[in-house]
Amino acid sequence: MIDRRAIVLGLACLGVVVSLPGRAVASEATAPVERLYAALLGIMKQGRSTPFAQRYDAIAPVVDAVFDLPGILQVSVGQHWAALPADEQAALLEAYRRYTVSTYVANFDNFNGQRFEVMPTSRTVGRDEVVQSRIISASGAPRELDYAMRPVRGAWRIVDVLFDGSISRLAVQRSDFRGLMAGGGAALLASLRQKTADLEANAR
Amino acid sequence: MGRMSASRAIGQLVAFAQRRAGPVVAAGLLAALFSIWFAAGHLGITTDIALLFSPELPYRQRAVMLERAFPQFQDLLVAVIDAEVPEEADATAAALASALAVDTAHFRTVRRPDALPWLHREGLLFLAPDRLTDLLDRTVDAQPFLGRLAADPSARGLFGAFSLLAIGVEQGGMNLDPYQSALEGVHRTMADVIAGHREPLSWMRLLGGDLADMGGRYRFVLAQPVLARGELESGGAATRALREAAAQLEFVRAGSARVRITGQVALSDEEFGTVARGAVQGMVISITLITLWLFLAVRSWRLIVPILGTLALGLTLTLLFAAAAVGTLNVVSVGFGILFIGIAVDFAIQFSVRYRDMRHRHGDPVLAMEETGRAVGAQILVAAVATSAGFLAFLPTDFRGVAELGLIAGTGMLIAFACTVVFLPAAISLMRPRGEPAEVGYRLGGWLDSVIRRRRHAVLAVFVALGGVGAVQVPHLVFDSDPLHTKNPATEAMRTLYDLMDSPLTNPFTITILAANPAEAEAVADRLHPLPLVETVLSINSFVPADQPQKLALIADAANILQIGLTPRAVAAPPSAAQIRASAAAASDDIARVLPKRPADRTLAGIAADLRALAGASDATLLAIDSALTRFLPMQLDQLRTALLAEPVTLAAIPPELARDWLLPDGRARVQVLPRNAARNSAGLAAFVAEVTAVAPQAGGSAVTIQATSATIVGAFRAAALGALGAIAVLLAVSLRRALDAALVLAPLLLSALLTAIAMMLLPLPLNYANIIALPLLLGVGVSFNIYFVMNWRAGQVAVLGSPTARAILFSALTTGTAFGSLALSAHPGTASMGMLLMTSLLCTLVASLVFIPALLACLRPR
Repeated sequence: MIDRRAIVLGLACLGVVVSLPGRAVASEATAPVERLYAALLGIMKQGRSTPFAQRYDAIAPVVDAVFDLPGILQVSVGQHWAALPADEQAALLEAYRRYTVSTYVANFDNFNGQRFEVMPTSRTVGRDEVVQSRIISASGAPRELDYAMRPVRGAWRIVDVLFDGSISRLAVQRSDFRGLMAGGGAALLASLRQKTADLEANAR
Repeated sequence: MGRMSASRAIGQLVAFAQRRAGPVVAAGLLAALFSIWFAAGHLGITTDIALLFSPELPYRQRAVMLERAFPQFQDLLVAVIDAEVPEEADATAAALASALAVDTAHFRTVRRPDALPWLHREGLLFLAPDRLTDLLDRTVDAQPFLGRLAADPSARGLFGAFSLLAIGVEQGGMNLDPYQSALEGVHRTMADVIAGHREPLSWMRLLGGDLADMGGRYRFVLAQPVLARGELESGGAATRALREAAAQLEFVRAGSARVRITGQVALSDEEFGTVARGAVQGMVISITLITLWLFLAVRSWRLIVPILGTLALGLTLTLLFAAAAVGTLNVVSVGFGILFIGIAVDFAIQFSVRYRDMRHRHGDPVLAMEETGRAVGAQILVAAVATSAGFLAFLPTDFRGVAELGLIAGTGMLIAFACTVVFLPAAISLMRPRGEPAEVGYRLGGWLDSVIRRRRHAVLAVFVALGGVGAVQVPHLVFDSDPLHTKNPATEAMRTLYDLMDSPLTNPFTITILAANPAEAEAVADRLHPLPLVETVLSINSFVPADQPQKLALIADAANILQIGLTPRAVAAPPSAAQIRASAAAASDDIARVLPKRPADRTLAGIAADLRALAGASDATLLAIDSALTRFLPMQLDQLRTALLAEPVTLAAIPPELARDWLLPDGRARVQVLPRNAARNSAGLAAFVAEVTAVAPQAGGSAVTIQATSATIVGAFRAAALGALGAIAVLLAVSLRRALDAALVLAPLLLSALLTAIAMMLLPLPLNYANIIALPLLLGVGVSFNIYFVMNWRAGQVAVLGSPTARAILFSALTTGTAFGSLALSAHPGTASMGMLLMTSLLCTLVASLVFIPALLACLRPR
């Protein structure tokens, strides 16, 4: 009896420790954002002279690691997701992954002295930690970008990006996808593939 | 003992009163003063309608039980608030509630049951899944605005969001379709303000669409005022305090929100207010006219003063009786005064006119008075006893209000008789009226007599036909059981109530059932729901939403997307006009760049035009735009944040202040049944009550009470009418001792009732709670007139209409008719319809007495 109570008590304490917010969590939560920015700086410095595919391969593993892409896609598709057949889900995830990575490759394709700043502390909203950062261009105009971080599959991962600190990429995507999903998963798949192709074409 | 000996006894009484005129009048004055003093100390008035009915009636007991169980619904002043924009209504209701809550001198309790914080948090769960999905989708669509505005809740923030949208379209081919309705709303507000019309943007409508108005356009503040018991307008002070508090509120002053007052307290205050207002005017007019009629009847103030003195003494003595026997007058029995005057004046006029006739015949005042007593005393006694029996017939009924009226007025008739044969002769002999040189009867009457006598068969045939028509009509007489129809529909409380009745949600006529527990309440509700006249059934279970797991998942999904944007890093300080102008200019430029891509987008073009106008607008316009666009934004953002925190709702989780409206401490659960609009009239309401009580016989509530009350009233009047007729028939048979004579009195009485029924169909004038009281009076007046004629005829009088009796009847009818006619002018429809019915029935009585009786008697008279 005593042993079991001690175990329960111990688990409860552990729970308290784990859920304690603070610097430890903040630094764990900010790490993926810093890793993303380091990788972005890498492909920016490579620039357009480096082939698209090469830059793509450089950033893709980082995107995979720091984003919870399956989670983001699932929320963006919304209630229809569960009804999609597994192979369609897989195809959509792959298309979405390509689209996300391509967006980064296409938009971060030159280096003019831009700086990324990640604030050392995060704010807690519900179960998420929100990491605040700024992209400062050479001209000095800062853009605020916030990252919603959540522990997924054993690590803190990005689940949403807020432009200007307020406009949710997840929300915009959800609204966009809802219209497309009216035509079923195939329409969304076609759209994602088309957008990705456009990005790659423009980048050449 | 017979009629002759009664005549002699009364003659001796009159002679005695005449001999001792001084002491009799002095004693009368003393008695009047004592009565006034005693009544002032012992006679109260209650306005409690519930006291009109026997407390032993099962539906009254249920009503009392429900009132005790849910005291929060009793004695309410209800402030009904509406506004052009739902947020203005909310803000006004909230401000009013807090203003009233601190005014403890006037208000015991103040509640806003439609605005509990719990409802804000759990509100989304009460939507049907498809509507919830739709609302959440639209909210997610609006996220770019919401997020931007949460960080900067100002026009600058909104214009910044426009810029970002434009950039999104320019760079990422962003889809603007989801934002169309929101953009349109914003465009309309901006265009309005630029055009000079300032109406704040409703973010509730912008984000919620038609859901914002789903709960109805009205907001409610329920206040229980401190009542001034004993005053007719017991909630007057509290109503004034509420009105003053409302007038101070921002949106009320600006004219965009409206606060109206209704509820039981306001309704009954207004009712007594309109009754009282009409009463004073009516009293002045009727006293003037009555004096005129009296003058035309008796031609001398030396007779008028004694008549008025006799009426006053009789009235004060009746007051004394009411104070001693009943103690408290109710809203029905308070009408005894008008009944008393209406009939007692007839006794006094009969006596005085006959006295003038005797003076003409005998000359000597002493002899004339004795002869008057002998000739008319017995007639007045029979009339008084018959009328009294008519009133007392109400005593055994469950309609206590009229039973008490019957007791007071019935006794009052006997008092009136006593005053007429004792005080009146004494007062007349003190006043020493001059002799009567001329005939007192009317010549014209004599001529009419001969006309009727000649055409008696035709006259009778017409009346028989009319009687037949009337008899067919009687079963079709309608009783209007809607208690609102006897109130003045032009008052604020009534107009507001009728507005509320347009919606089943706020219909005041509902049925309440107390179930043993919430589970049984659910079972009852399930059985009631399919009934054709049932709109909806509410109970504590209605506050536990259906499909919760599905809805909670939808809400959690949306919260996952929205919450972070709604929780910004920091909220920006309010912008200056210059900052708003700069952000408008920037957004205008940003949108201008994408307009060529969207040539068909009228809304976006409109917004671009608005922004261009604002970029060059004055500081005042810019600050006005800022206020119009974002005034209600923080409120709505808070509401959204709260709503996204919805938690599972169980019976136990319902907050006590809400649960107490539906659950009793002993576990019993209130079930409220709301009727469809089809049940708004008397017949519909009766059908609704019949449907529901067939399933739940123990039902109570306003609808049941109204139905049962009208049944009680109609039953009481039916029983009383039959009882009165029986009693009068027996009385007449005993006092006249000839069945034919009794029949001669009753026949015109029945005829006048049938004529009244025809008139009521033609006017039309349905019976209602107020005017049904007129019926016993018809009985009393009708029976008196007929008794005079029939007894004169027995005494050998040939000319009916040429007699002094006919003159007396004409003027006593005019006097009574005037008293009632003043009621018909009242602003209070109940009182007015009572006046109308009294006048109508009086006219019918007059026709029956002055035309039918002469023809009837002419037929019987041997040639």
